[in-house]
Amino acid sequence: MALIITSFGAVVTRNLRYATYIYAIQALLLTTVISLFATASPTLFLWAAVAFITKFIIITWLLLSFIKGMPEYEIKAIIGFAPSVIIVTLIVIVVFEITHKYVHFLAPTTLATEEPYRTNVAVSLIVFTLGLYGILTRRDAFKTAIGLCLLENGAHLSLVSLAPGLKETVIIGIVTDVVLGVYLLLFIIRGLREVAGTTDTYQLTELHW
Amino acid sequence: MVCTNANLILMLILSPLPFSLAVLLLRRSEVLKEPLTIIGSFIPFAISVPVLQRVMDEGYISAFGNELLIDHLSAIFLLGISFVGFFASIFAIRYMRQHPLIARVGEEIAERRLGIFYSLFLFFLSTMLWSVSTNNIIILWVAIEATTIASALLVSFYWDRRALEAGYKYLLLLTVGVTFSLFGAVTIYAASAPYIANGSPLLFTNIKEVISQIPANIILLSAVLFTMGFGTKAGLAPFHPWLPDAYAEAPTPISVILSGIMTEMGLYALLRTFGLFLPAYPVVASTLLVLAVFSMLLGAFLAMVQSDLKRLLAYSSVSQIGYIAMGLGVGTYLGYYGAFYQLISHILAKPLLFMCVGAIIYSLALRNIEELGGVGKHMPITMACFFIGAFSLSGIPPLAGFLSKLTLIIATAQAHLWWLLLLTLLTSLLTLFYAVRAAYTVFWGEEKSEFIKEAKEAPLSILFPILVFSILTFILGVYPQLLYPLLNSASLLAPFK
Repeated sequence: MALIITSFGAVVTRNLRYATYIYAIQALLLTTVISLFATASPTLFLWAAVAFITKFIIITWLLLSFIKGMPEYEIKAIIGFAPSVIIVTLIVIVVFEITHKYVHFLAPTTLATEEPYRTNVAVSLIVFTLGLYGILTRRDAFKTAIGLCLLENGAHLSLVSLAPGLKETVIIGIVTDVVLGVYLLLFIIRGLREVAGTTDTYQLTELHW
Repeated sequence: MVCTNANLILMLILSPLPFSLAVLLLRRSEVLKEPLTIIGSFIPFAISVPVLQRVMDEGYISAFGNELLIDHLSAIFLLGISFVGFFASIFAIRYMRQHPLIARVGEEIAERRLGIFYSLFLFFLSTMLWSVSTNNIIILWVAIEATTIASALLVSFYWDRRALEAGYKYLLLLTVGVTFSLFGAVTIYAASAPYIANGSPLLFTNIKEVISQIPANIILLSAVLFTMGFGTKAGLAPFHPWLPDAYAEAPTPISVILSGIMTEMGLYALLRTFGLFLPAYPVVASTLLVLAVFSMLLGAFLAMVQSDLKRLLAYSSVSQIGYIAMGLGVGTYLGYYGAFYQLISHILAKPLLFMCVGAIIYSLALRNIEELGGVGKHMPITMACFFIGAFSLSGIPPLAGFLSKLTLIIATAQAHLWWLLLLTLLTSLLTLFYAVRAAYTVFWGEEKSEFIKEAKEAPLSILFPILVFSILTFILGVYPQLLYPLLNSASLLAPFK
């Protein structure tokens, strides 16, 4: 539940610094959840360590460095707080119901159909969907980057249930891509801010059909 | 001394990297950057020839317990990547020094930025070579995502508003899209792991052995995830919105690589992953067929309304990628043969057209069709080569594009997909219309300004790759049997319905 609340908080909080802090809390929670699962599958301790270093330390640092010199608040989003509460509640209910009702259709292993792995799959899909919701409904490019981070957190969390025995090289490959992707996205958004004077994606209208 | 398969594959993938590093370190040097880039892109091209030879002799080559594996399908892509990469680097040398970048940021900064450009260029090349050499389903995702990361700054290279906007969309949409295929890869890995007693469940070759034991619902779910993920990378409609902006705003040598090979990486990944399912679950191919037809038509219609030459070619790519996907979706031997043939003809025609547009930009700093006209009088070689590319794209004999499209049409007829045959012919007509109209207006139309009179042919280092691609487009149209051994082996390898 805490992972879902932090996802929602990171998406809807208009203060950019607070949104980043909420993201950092989620990264810590993610590390904790993976560590708890690691008591059953020891290989997951590496996952937890990698998540702590990349998601909590590196990505949080990247986000905090980026917002220096930015306005305190994000550009007003397409969908405000109140409708977001309703939409996110619906997303949570629908995804949770689907993943519980149709778990045998969705889960590739028997392990993933059992508790607590089943709930973990549901939560990871909700975090992923909320990340996507953030990307689609935020006008501020910085907030779309936070949406991307949430989406990646959801993917990361799902692997705990779906593929707990994944090899170290593969894990490192995946997270390296994620960190570099977020870094480059922030770098390009910074360029946009310097050149175009805004991070409002509604004003990115130079290119169209 | 005989080079082992492991050494050969490693050299192929890693050879651009030391040059990438050297160019980065020597980015202030005015004389070393370009030669190092050309050597760094030539080595993989040179190595891909013995690799191809060995694959033709042995069927496939592999290394590190089959973690890296090159078969006929990979060989087609390897050859394409190294070939286009090498000639794009030659094209870039003069082209990149002409651009207003120098006027805007000053010579010293431009010089350093060019160093970064060439360094990323070589790194990008290496990631693409890695993508088509891996036999590991999740590393395939890692490598495909690495190609996006390596090329994002190249797309935004000019660092103006349009380039940054294109780079932002490119990185965000591709990263989000491709993440879906990570779920697909993990799902297939997890589902197949219990059935694989010996060996890694991450390897395509091992997963293939047990695919029939995986429940149909998991296959269906993975197929949808792969279609969304790798389909985005391939620029298939409706996952294509990143593509026109990136192609148009990237420096032309990068447009050449994006159009010639990078989008095809997505198709390669789709083919590899769908290749797991198709023998047991032919229904999956129908998904691809629907997307293919939508891409062919939408791309062609949108290309017709473009006035920017690079955007026109970009939308044309959406359409042409649709043709390749269509062949794969038909799923017969001839369908695959036509798809691979179309892939090669597209690898030649689209970079050729982008380079011709690059030559016009080099000469006139214009790329809008409405501002151009009568350029052919001043740039006859560029004009002739543009027409070769445009005719090949439209499927006019005796060029490579004619035979590839004819093969696809025969494949649809053999499969009794008459509706598809009609739509393919319609798309070819639309392609002919927009490509020839653009060529006619730009090269034969009325000169729109006095400025056009100053146009002259681009220097030899720009014309040389254009001529090579034009000649090959012609040769592969006249002597299709040159490609037969490779295309036949790759098609026989593909999973049939």
